[in-house]
Amino acid sequence: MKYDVCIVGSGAGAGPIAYELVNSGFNVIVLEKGDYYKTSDFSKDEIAYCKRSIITSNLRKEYHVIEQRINNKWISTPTYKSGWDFWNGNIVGGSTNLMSGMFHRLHPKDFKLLDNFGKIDGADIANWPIDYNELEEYYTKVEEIVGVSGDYKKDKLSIPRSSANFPFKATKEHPISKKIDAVASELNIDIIKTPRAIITKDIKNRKPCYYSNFCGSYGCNSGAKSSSRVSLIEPILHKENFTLRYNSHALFFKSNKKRVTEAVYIDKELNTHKVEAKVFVLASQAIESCRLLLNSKSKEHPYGLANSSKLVGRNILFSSGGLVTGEFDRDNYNNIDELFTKGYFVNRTITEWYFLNREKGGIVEMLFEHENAILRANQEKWSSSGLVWGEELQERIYNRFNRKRVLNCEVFTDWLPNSNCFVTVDNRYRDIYNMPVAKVRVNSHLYSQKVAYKLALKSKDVLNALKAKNIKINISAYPPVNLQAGGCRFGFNAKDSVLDKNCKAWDLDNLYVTDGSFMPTGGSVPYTWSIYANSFRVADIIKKVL
Amino acid sequence: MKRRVFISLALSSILLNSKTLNSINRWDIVEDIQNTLFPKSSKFPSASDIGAIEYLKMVSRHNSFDKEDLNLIYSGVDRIIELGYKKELSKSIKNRLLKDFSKTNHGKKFTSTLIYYTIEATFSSPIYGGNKDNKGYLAYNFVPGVLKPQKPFGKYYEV
Repeated sequence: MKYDVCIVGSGAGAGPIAYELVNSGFNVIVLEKGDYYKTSDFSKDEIAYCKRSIITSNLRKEYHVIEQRINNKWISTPTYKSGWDFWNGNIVGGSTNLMSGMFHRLHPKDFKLLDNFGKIDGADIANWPIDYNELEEYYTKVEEIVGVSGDYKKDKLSIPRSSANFPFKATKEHPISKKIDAVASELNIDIIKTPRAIITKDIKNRKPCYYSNFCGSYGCNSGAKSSSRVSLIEPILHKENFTLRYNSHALFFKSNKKRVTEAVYIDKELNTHKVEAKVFVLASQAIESCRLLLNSKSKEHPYGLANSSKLVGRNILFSSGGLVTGEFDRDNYNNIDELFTKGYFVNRTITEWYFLNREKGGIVEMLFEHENAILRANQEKWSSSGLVWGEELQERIYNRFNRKRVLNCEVFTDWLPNSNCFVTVDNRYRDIYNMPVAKVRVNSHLYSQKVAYKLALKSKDVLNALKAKNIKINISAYPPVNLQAGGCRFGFNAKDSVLDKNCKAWDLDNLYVTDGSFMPTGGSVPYTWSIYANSFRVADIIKKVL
Repeated sequence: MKRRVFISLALSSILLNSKTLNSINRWDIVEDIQNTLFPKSSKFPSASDIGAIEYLKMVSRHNSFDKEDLNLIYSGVDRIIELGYKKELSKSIKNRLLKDFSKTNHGKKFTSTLIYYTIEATFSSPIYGGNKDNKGYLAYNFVPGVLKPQKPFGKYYEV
């Protein structure tokens, strides 16, 4: 059977395409590598969902190779050796099932970062071939269809929006949020209620947030979290013109000179299958999408599919930044019972430093540290003098859980694209399907870290004003593996980009790439809202093509 | 280290060399070390009270468990036995042995890993075999998230 559209992946880049095209009457198939976990299948099980590869690939079978600069040499280490896991939610809906859902629109200036802030030595910054106005209606569409809650208040950024406010009112807040607002007012800094991809009232198959206290890293038991699965895939699951094949791992595309002809995938029983379609959409998260294209070489496409520019895999993005933490206990928080109110969100984002004089800054997300017990207890075994155990460790754990709460300021700044941050494949490293795995060279531009440090110092001032104790700054050059973008940038011409402005591969008539890999720059906010929005935009384009 | 303790440890090391390690039940020693790392007190349950060894045995049989961690635990136990660790020793000597062993790279990794899995046993759902009767949650006043897991390791449970 030949489908109208074959989509590889089921996350933020895939769900909108499936939803829109199925609802427009087209025959659509989704190939999802992972299993199908419904809302009722999830639980707050730290072992299963945070400590073991239950809903991510087993590193002994499927892994990545990470190249890092160590003592002036590039050293490659397979992740089955290092344990550094670059998989994120290999289940229907992908990592959107597990996100914290802090959603931000890009600022109009983010679309033209090169024009607005100029070149930076060692960075390969490029403007987007679309501007904010072309994406705005789709940001609004995500709010309504996928579900974004919040309480809009105009700040200095003044990002334009066509709707007056969010369709779902903001989630409940911890009392500390009011203290943060008061301090922000004293310091005269702009702070907003964080828009969340979490719904706060019943809709269709979804219940509102029940404030479990364990949101990020976990699937949602009520359907409140706006995963691609619950908001887009499940509403179309019963439709005759939609086929969802999970446990179906797409290995490569077959193609002729101008068209993708088949997606070849392998099922759980290791049988190989192929799917024919008029149009193919690739949305399996940036690193894996680049890998699939590079593994789809043919005589017509000797450098990999869609890669006549040799740019597939180049300029991979993560998110720069780090963490500033401060502690609160009965000494510096006057109501200890109030401090330990569990479940409600802090929901504050500092936007004051999105632009810093003549350079691009970023945002600071304020939230309490994750409540996971094993995570926090394990941190207590290290002291300045080494490993701690016995009664000393037991007391430290008890105090960590009961005597203090840690407030995090998560700093987000742009990860600058650079020539030492890219994805290739290396035939020496293969997975259990005998496919070359993705080899990721990771390199953070020093400029990104400097900007992040500036924001961290300003965040420290805020924590000081809140009278937080033991304030610590940790700016990291390490990439957050759940925030991947780039590698198949869209652009103005086939020489400098992989995709055109519609996210169609320049080299092929019927291949679109709609996960975060289309981004030439990522902005200094989490990407997911922009990926969802762009995917809705491309869905409209594909409708016209079909 | 006091001379008397040194001599007794030296003697036990000589005796051990003439006895195969296989005749010593490793899991018994692991449990004893766990109880040294997480002892019983008026305020906190011991590792045995929590069911830490039952937990470790259960999770180490699952295909998601890192077999290198199991090898590290075995090799660490073998080494600390060679260094003279016995269940019969006093608490202070056991702690001293662990402290000395943890000054080596191997020892530090071993002790850190065993602490880690004992922490898992303390704070995981009781369906994994540890945290017996929610003793871990109760002792540390930790409230787990809802929904609690109905079966271990997600949707499917395969050993």
